[in-house]
Amino acid sequence: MLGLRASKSAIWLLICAVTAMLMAVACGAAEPEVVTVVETVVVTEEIVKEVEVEKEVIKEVEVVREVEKEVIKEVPIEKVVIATPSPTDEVFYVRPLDPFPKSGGTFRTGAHGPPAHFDWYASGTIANHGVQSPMYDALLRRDPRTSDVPVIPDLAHRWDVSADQLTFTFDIREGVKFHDGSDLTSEDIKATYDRIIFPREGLVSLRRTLFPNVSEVNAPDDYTIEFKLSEARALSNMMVAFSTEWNLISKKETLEQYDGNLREVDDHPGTGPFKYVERNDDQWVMEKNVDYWSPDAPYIDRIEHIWLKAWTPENTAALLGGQTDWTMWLAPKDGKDIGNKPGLNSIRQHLLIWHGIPLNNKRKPFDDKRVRQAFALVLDQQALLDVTADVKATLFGGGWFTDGTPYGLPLSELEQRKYFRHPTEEDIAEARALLAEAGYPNGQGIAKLDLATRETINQRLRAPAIQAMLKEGLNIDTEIRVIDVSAHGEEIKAGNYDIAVEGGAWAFIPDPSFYIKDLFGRCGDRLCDGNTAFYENPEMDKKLRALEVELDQAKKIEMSKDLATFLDQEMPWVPLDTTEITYWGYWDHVKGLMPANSDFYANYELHKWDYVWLDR
Amino acid sequence: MESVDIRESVNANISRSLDAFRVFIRRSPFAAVWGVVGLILVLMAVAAPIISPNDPLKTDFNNMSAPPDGDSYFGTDQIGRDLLSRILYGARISLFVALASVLLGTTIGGVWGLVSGYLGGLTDMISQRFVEIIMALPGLILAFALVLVMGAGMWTIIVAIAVTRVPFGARIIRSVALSVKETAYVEAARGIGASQVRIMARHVAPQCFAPFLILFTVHLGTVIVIEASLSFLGLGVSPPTPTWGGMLGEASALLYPFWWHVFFPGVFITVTVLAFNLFGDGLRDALDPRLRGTL
Amino acid sequence: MRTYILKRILYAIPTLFGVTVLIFAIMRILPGDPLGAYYGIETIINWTPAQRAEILRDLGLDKPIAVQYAIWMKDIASGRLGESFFRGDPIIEILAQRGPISAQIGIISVAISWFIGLPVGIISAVRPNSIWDMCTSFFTVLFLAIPGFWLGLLIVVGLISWLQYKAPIVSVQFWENPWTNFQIIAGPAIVLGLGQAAFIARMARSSLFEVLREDYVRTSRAKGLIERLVIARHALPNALLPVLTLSGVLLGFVMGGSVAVEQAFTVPGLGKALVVAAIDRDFNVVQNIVLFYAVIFVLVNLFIDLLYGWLDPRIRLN
Repeated sequence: MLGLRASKSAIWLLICAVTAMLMAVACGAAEPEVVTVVETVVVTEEIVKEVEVEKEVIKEVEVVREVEKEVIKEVPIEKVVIATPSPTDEVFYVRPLDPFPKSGGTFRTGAHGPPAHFDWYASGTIANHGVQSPMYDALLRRDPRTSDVPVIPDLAHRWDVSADQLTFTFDIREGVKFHDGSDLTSEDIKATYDRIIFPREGLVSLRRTLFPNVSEVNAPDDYTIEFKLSEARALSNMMVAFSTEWNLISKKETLEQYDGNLREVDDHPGTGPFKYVERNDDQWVMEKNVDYWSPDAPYIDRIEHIWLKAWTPENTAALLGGQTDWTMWLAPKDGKDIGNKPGLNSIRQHLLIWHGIPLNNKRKPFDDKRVRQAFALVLDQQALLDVTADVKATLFGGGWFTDGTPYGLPLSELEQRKYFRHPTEEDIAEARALLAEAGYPNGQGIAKLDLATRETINQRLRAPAIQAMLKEGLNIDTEIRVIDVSAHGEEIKAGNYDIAVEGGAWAFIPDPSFYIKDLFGRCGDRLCDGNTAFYENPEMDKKLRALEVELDQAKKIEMSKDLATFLDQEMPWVPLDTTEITYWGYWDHVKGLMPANSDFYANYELHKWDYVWLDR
Repeated sequence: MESVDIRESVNANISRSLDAFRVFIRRSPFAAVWGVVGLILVLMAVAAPIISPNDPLKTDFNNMSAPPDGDSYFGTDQIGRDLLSRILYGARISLFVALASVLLGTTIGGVWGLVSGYLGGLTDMISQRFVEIIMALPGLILAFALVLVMGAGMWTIIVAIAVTRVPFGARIIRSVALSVKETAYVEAARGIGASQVRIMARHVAPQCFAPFLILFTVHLGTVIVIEASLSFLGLGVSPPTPTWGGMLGEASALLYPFWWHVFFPGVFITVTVLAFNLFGDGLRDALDPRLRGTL
Repeated sequence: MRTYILKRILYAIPTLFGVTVLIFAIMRILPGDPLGAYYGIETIINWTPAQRAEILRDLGLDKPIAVQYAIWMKDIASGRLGESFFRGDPIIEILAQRGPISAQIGIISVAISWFIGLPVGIISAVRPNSIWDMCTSFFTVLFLAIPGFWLGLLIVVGLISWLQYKAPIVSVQFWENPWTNFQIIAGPAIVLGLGQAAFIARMARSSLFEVLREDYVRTSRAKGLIERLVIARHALPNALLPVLTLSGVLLGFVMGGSVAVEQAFTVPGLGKALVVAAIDRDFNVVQNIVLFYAVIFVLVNLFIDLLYGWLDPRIRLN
């Protein structure tokens, strides 16, 4: 009896023992001890070179009024050139720079998508207008043929700004027809801008923030549209706002029919160079609009936008394998050498997106600015950017302000600023002293911090790097928490985090008064949309307000220097980078784009394809 | 009287197992060798803190994606962590997830199948419908949905994979229980008035042990692939914890990944699956060849 | 036979009903909602609770769970399966576009597995422990162990590196352009087919190996039949029954595996649609695709059960 009990329980005991052992192993493995030394990083030569090129682009802003018809000369991004054709020569058309463009052919793009809905006024992703803009036109546009992308006419062919800069009047082209055959009038443009600037209750309008000072939109006659401003803003800011490709013109009738909500309307008439053919889960197909108002354009017979996610290997593979002709979403490691492959070219684009590491100001210990400063001192931004350099490129540069604009801090200066350079011995010592001063000597008194991240490849790599730097530099423990992509935005906005691996905001208008306000300011009675660090300071709001209403460019730059110092002291979050890089890749037979190997700064604004032709 | 019965049956069972073990070694020496490989992998995982040359979380921003050399035999990963150390530590997670989920799933399934098979009747019929419902969803898809619901993490992955293993246990053990139920000694036990729980625990369960062991080993390989697939689809164990599937997922973000990021974790997955599969097959052939058609 | 068929079909109905309940329950306790994907993860915006509520109402997500389930049942009954939260596309269209490609991959992979696995298994069983047996065993166990998505990734990178070749990524049905369609499905079908072929070969070998030692086979040999006839006429039919069952079970393996393999090959199939929809939390699409997989799986296994019953009278009489 005893023997049998023993032998039977021996088997189960063995199982239990094995299980227990494995449990112990796994528990040990689940939280391995973090013993990590953060070492300083030598910036690779390549990156230094790249930044140097950008430095040359930083020039004075210069608003040129009443200039020549076609503005194609070397101008940096911020130097917004306003082409105002003279009354005698009111026909401006975007034509390919090549003397003999060919017509015909199918253009297949690797397009990030499909979009979740079709209402681009409520969309913040290129999945929408990256594919929808060929079917529509905007008021003004950016010239896609050169890397300076100056502002040029689109539906508006000339315009006037009143002396007090409080009235903008645009003359609309005559004879422009929607795809359903009806004529475009200023009523359509008014309806569109009313949808953007004054959305009815319940409608989302993401570009509303571009026009906070517009008080009314009028259509005095069929071919004139007038914007009344409550307060003057820098002219260049206004022109950027009017020229963004996000603000495509819909038909008044359509907007009325759907009460401004176009979420499920994929085929409503536009005036653009291409017309809707079909759309499914694989692609969105469009065909040439033979009645397009610009003579000869478009040159392509058919566009197939093939859905491929940004920065995925599939996207690169599709281009290399000839399944697509063009894509703008090559992963940086793939994009850097694609120009060396026979038949292929690349262009580098800097998207004006601002990134930082949000520290939740509402929670301890980040309610104390000394703690925030200590974090900024030990976090090595350049190393954190290097970590993700192969999968999602962002360039170190600009400091607090967008790189490539007159506000951006030059790299030589950044290397001197203690919050941006590689942490030195003194920086680490200072950080520890600050932490002790704030009442947390050697990290004591700070509970394990919640490091919120989402399941994307770059965050998967960056989160452990941040974790290691904080442990080594300040002896602060963090726990990485992966939040599902679908819940991540809500979670961050609700303030359910201590540190977020990445926060960002668009610099739609490359002026600190726009994006710094969005990130750290108040908008009316609440915090601005991008203020996910929950930073509040009346002094900051005062400085931003002063910068916002200042019209003189030189003064603005002076004021921004003061703002940078203030930001250093306040450290609302840890700044990382100010532009995000993506590589365009395309085959030789795609013609009409800006020169190969260009390096340009813009958001998503060059996707109308009326200027592209195929040489096959 | 009753104890003699049990002693005889269990003794017979043990000697049969020993015989089977001898048969196993003789009949499938290859399987035995692979069993040893599996054991080495498990030992390697257990001893990871001792044998790994580096801290798997130690980043080195001067040595990101460095190729294999004398300093790091398998190279370093995207943020300069030693790949060999990460693979050794990764073995802990991959093996633990596999062993724990199969053990959990097969045990629950086994008990379920035992009870359902032994009791029979309406209980059996209803419980078999439940098994069929779970079985109607392909394993990876069910696990995918469950991890989505519960959020990615080691324990949620274990539970999700375990759920997908339940029906297998329930089916196989049920069929064994059904046949054991009809044997003379169970009838005899019933005759002398033993309770149902007692009969199930004392008389039926021991007979189910061999199939249980086989099920356990045979499913290990499958489960390791499921775990790697989940990680590949972006539902793996959270960083910074190293897992083989997660390393593959991180590497496959590029069209031309660094070969060492891809090669080593892949080889380890393949070898582990190979070892468990072959060992399981050998074990099955030796212990209970009847199960061949069903597993 | 008729009662056997009826009984089997009757069993399948509650199973399918249970599957819908299970899927629905899983979907509705999922954390997160489609709004994140709706506005784009590139932008963080603050919508007011009123806007949020309005969108959820538009999507039908504000109703009680039981009502949502009833609506789904109604959508299934109407044959349209409802609409995607995103873009408002009818889900039946997504299935019609993606389903045939995944189905082709499934069917061709099963065909490949039988065409390769069966002969390999038979020859191994007839000549156990020969060089051939050793070689095939090696490849069999190797293909059993290699994760399909992994092999897929290697094939894709290999083709693009050496041949600059990438299979088409836009779905094209067989009747539209057979050659393009073939290029789309070839890769995943081969990878999944080889994986299954390994199972089939192993099963065929062991099953035939045993049958060949049965008394009736010995009898037929003793009767003077040539070996080929003994195998083809007498041994094989019985040995194939377990292989057939296995093939049904393997279907689950193919459908599950195809999700990751389709992802690796960027095939515009159901698996890819499922992963994308799951990440974006398009519950309507996810639950219908999962249901579709389950229905196919149940029906195929039902068919195999019936086939089995037809081939083996013992089963239908039991």
